Amino acid sequence: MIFELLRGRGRVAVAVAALVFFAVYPWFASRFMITVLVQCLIMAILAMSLDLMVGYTGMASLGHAAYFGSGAYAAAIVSVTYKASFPEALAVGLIVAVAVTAVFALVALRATGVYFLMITFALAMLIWGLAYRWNSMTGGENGIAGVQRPSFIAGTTTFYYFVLAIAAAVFVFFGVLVRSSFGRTLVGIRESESRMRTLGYNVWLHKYIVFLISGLFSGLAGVLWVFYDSLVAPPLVDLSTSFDALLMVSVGGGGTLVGAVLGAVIVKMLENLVNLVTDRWLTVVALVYITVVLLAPQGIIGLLRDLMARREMNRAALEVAGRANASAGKEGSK
Amino acid sequence: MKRALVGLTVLATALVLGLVLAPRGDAAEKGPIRIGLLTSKTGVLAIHGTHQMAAVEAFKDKYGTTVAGRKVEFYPEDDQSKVPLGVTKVRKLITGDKVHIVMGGLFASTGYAIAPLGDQYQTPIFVWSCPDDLSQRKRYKFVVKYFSCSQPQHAMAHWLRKNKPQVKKVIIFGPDYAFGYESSGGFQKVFEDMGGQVVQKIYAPINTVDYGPYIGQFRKDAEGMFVTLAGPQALRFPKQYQQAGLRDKYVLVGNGTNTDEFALAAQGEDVLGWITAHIYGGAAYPSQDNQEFVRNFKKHLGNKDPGYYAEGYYGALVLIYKAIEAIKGDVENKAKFMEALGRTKVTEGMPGGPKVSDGYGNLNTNVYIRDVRKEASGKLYHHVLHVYENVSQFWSYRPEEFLKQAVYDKDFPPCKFCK
Amino acid sequence: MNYWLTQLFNGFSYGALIFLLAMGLSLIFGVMQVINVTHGTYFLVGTYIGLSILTWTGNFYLAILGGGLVIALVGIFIERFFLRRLRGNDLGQVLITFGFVLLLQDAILLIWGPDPKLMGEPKSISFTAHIGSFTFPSYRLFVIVVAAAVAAGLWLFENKTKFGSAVRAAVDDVEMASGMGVNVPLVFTVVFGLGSFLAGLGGVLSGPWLGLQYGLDLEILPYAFVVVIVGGMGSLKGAILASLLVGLVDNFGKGFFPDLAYFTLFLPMAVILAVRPQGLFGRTL
Repeated sequence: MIFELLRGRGRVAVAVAALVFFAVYPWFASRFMITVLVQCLIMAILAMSLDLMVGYTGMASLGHAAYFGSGAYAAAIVSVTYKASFPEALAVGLIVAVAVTAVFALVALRATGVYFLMITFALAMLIWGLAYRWNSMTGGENGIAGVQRPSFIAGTTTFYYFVLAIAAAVFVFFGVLVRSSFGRTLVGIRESESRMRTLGYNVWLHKYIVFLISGLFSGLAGVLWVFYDSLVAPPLVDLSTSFDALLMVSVGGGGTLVGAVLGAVIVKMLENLVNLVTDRWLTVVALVYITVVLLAPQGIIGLLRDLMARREMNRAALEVAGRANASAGKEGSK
Repeated sequence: MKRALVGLTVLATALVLGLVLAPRGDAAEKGPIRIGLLTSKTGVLAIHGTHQMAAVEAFKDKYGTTVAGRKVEFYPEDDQSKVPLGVTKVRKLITGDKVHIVMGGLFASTGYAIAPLGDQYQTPIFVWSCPDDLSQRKRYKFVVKYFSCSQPQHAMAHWLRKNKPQVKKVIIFGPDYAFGYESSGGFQKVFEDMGGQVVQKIYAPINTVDYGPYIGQFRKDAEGMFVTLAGPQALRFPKQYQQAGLRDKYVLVGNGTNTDEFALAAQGEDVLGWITAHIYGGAAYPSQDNQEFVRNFKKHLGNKDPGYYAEGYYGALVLIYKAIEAIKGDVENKAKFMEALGRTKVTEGMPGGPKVSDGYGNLNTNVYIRDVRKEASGKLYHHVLHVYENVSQFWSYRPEEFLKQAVYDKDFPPCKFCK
Repeated sequence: MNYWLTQLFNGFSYGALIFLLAMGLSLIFGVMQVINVTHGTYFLVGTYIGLSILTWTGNFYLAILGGGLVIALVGIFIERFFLRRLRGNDLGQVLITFGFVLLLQDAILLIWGPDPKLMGEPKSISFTAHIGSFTFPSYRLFVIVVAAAVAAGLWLFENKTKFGSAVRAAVDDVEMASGMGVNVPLVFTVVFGLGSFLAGLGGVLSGPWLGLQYGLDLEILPYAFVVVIVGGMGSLKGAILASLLVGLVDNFGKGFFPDLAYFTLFLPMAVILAVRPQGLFGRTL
């Protein structure tokens, strides 16, 4: 029954239901849980942008903290040191994130597969090194504190709706993108780069563009995060952020967009709520990583799709067998 | 097998949803007094977290869990030694656990980061770490703190000039963030005002693993070193300093964190004779209040000695209780609570001596100059050489004058005598 | 003059320590194409195990060997039962190695606690040595000697033993090597074990020098990555050269540009990536 829901028009219904759920959430949740959900939504944007590269184009990146962080730091710096307004900080954050992505992508795209992973990781380390040591600009270890939201989104609930609106818009935009011919080309590249090349597609350009888009929206997530937390510091730009993003995509299921959102919600919920129950949150998160990778490499959505496909096959097989039986029965009862 | 996984998935989703819907209730209830505690149970500063939690237990031993007729509940949270997480946890404590006051924060930077939350959520925050400016130029209505980083180091400079006048040129070495800058700045100001010269200032990231590059730069013409070591630095630097053969070359003084009890046992002979200044005299200091505190502390942490991290946490809780008593337990009246916190004064029961609010959100306190000695059994301890009483964050300067200058920072005071 | 000598020596000795850590990572990556993020944690856990062995037996050299061996076993276990299942799934392998980072970190907290600890080295190698007016800690010299011995051993292994040539063949081209009869799964397990052994050994060696600090694993890992990238994955020559470079650049960088300390390290790496992604001695990508 669940599976019927996930097909065709059922999907839209589920999406609308989810949106409604998110929309009425603040009415019955505590202030604390609202802030947790804000985290989930912002990270969903990061996860979706990563999914574009990892799930749809097959470019697994270990360095998305770089673009997330560039956006975050740029916005924080102009907002606090130069007293920029929110729109200005947002713009600067996005521009810096894209600029960093544009340069890094040129370097990283010289490699593929495991080497690509390595290089994206190394480049993210570069940004981390800057954040950590360039004291005059980034505040070094202290980071930059005191980022203020403009009054129209200063409240917990108003900011929540603001982020929800942006996340929903991003979801729709990506949804349209992956169903367009550009999106289908990306999937083609994921399946076989050489085939796409022989078919005449400019594979490098496609990869570069998707990289840029991914970097832009990661930067957007970074800017939103800075205004949520009013603070940016080196731990936000380190290894664990890149890994977290990958984990979200993997847990939810790569190449499905909705998986990225689901993964983000699950991972952020875990991170916030596990240590209410136990001190061993490190082990819990570790077990999640390991279990997901080993048992559900396609993530939760992938798992559900697998099961749907299996039921389809079973049903089709039963039909065929039924018809065969019926005709055999007709013959047999002669 | 797959079915089990589906089941697990559904269960997990249900759990997530359940947790999402679970914590409710924005309505404030009267009931126990809730005190939020921010500390670092994991990460580079984890060791301090363990000491602080033990200090809380020692505190409960003596002062109990009831004050002004109401029960008290403690809510400890771990910031994993990460500043951004500190902010998240404080937010959770205030909005989720509905605490009436938050105390804690280990990094000076954490202090700066969580301070704005006090005003934002109208909840008192007792910043435990020592960021100078929170009680000087960047004051918030809802923030008080325990002491300023530079506070004890003013005294250190004074002591050095008075007791070892032959040390005229000093090299400053410290961690590359607020704590390092402010401690060193305090030392430099008084030292130079009394005729000394700081000839070199070097800062290294707190996570530095190999101090070779820094040690190699120390100027040969200096007579002394003022060293501040934070967290893991206390365990790495003394050994490498000693291995470079520098122990006999400079007169080394510095921040109390250099040889704090948490590290003393592990540091060994490398720190014998090191002179430091802090707001705590050390576990061996023979005052009655201190020895009672040490006894209670040891019960909770396997016979380990408390250092200032523990004493400070303990002392802050005493002050909080005092403030709660002053307002007869009416902590729901946040403004009244805050005002009482800004006026507290405790003269007995404190292992670190009397604490008196200075009207600027900081406390006047004793400063102890101590050096490291060895008992017959081989155990290391702090011996107090001198006690400065009632030291203010402004030292002997008039507050208005002091506040006119900039906060101690990487480039302030400027290094006039540097190469 | 003394200043330069001191910094040169410091850079060399630090490079020697990094070599031990990075060589294992480079081998694992070169042969198995696995980004072993757990490597830094192997290094750190090795240090803790070495400390325990030292406390029980009082023998420092036993601690070095023991630490290496235990970590080798841990590595082999993880490779055999987890990594092998994910052959071909690059992303999965990276994620699972990160999962083990967290698991091992929690293990450290549980078994040894969050307190930082110090490790003492034998007095015979712990003095301040003098050559003319130049002074240096003898322990750092000891580290250089051990690293040199390991490098020599590895060279012999790679060039003078049959198994070593199987490893080199696998670095060059795994499919070809398999086709030529090399037992690839066995090579993988041995290489992973060897790499982990080096990490553990390096860890114990670092104990008296760097102290035992929870969190050191992720601080020191970037250095190893830089070496692997700059030197070329799987190359012994590359790892030696790059480790020395990293040690020297880190030292002098911290001395001359303290504000940009990490940047001076990662920038050359980024330049190499842009200009010659396979590193100085790696095989062409």
